[in-house]
Amino acid sequence: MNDFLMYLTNGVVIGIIYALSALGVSLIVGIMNVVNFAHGELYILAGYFSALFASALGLGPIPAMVAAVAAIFVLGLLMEWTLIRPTYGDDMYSLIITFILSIILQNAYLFIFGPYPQKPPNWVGGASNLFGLFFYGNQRLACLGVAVGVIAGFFLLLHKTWFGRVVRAVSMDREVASMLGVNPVKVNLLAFGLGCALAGAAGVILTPIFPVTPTVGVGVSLTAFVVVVLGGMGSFGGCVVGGLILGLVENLGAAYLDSGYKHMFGFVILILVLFFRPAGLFGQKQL
Amino acid sequence: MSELLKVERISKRFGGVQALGEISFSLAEHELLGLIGPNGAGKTTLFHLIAGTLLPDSGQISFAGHDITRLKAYQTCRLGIARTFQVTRPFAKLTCLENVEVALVGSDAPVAREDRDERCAELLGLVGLKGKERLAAAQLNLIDKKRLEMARALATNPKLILLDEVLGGLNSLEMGQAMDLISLINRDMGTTVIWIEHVMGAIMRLSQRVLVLDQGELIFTGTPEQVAQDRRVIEAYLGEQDA
Repeated sequence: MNDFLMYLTNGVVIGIIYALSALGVSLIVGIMNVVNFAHGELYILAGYFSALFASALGLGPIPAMVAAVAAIFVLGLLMEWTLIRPTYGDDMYSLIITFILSIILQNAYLFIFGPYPQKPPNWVGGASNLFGLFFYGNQRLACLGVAVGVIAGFFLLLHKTWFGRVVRAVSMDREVASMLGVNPVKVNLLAFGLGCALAGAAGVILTPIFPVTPTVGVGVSLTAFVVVVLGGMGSFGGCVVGGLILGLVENLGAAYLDSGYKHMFGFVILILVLFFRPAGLFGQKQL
Repeated sequence: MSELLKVERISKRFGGVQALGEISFSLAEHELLGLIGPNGAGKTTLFHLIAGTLLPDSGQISFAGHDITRLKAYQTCRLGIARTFQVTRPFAKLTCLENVEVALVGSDAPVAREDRDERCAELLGLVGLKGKERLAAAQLNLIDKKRLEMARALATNPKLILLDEVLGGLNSLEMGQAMDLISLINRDMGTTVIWIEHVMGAIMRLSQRVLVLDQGELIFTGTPEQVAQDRRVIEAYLGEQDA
């Protein structure tokens, strides 16, 4: 029983990070109709940055994380400006460009950071006894707390601020929003930067637990796409539920069935959901 | 009355179809101009060109002293051109209040940050949506969706509103309410209006001047009384009389 609770907790921790990363993909797809294949590479870069800032600049873990996410945000703005903006009007170009970028980045990481796993120092040490049932690493609990905080902040931004309302309006009907005076270029720029920053946030939060290597980003992108489709295109709430489901299924499946097939369980769930609800769990049917 | 909008010889072609051919007209401030014509005459295309969602192949459009021919939709909106849609397009998952807020913020309307909520509620009240501020736009019925589009258009602080078939799909009671609203916007608030409509009686009653388009050509300009007498207009609508 205690083992089960621990697997469950693992699933929730990983699921929330999946959700965080998927929110970034969902935001960019919803606003710009761009699928960013370099999403996972930005996640990794944030992990490298947080390790680098902590070791080279001697920053504490939290300032290093904030600096890393800020750096990814700026990088996202530059990416939109130089690579994505010229492709407006043809979604296929941005797909190919970000795909190429992901390969270039993987090789750049290999060249610069080497093939060995890297991680920043843990924020906290030790473990806590959860409900007197089992011990659980403080680092993982801290990751969960920060990730939940970032997701809550993102939802507040979307629902309680002017910027968030404009962003939601643009994702519902881009043409009407522009006829109401919303500058689509500016919204694209900010949404892309924010989407990349969410990948970065997921990266810095998870790197202390799962160190980064140059190629783990492929799995990160893939997982984020699975979560977005599972939850339903265009639904941010769906990302959170989809992330949690995927995290739980993968971890419980790995624990009780076979850890070698961990990723397969997620895809089985995806196929089942798409079979019974083709638009995803919370997706709107396309008219 | 000074000139607000001037359209000079604009043309638009979609593949092999000449949607609009060298249309010219001008519009005075505070005017309510009716735009009529059979389906496919190019009325909505003309709106797209003025609002900047489509670019004309040739010709020039000027508005309030600016050349707006090549401006994008958000730029023409900020200069003071707003529009509503033939098939209503509210932001379905946002509340009515949020729908109007997006227009207010998006268009940089000159309203102080702390007064925005109040201004939006006031506009919703004006169009008759008082008490429905917190409803999601998807829950509204057709007339209320049309009202919401009007409130949204007004929130951008427009000098010119382009209304695309406001009365379509409404019952006679609702038509009366919609016409009162158009008259309020035009006569009391002084906003200039171009109004596409198929309901002739309404156009005849409210318009000061009527343009008639047929197959991309401007076939008639005049007062509502003159339109009803014109042979070309009658032919465009009813076809030629058998000899």
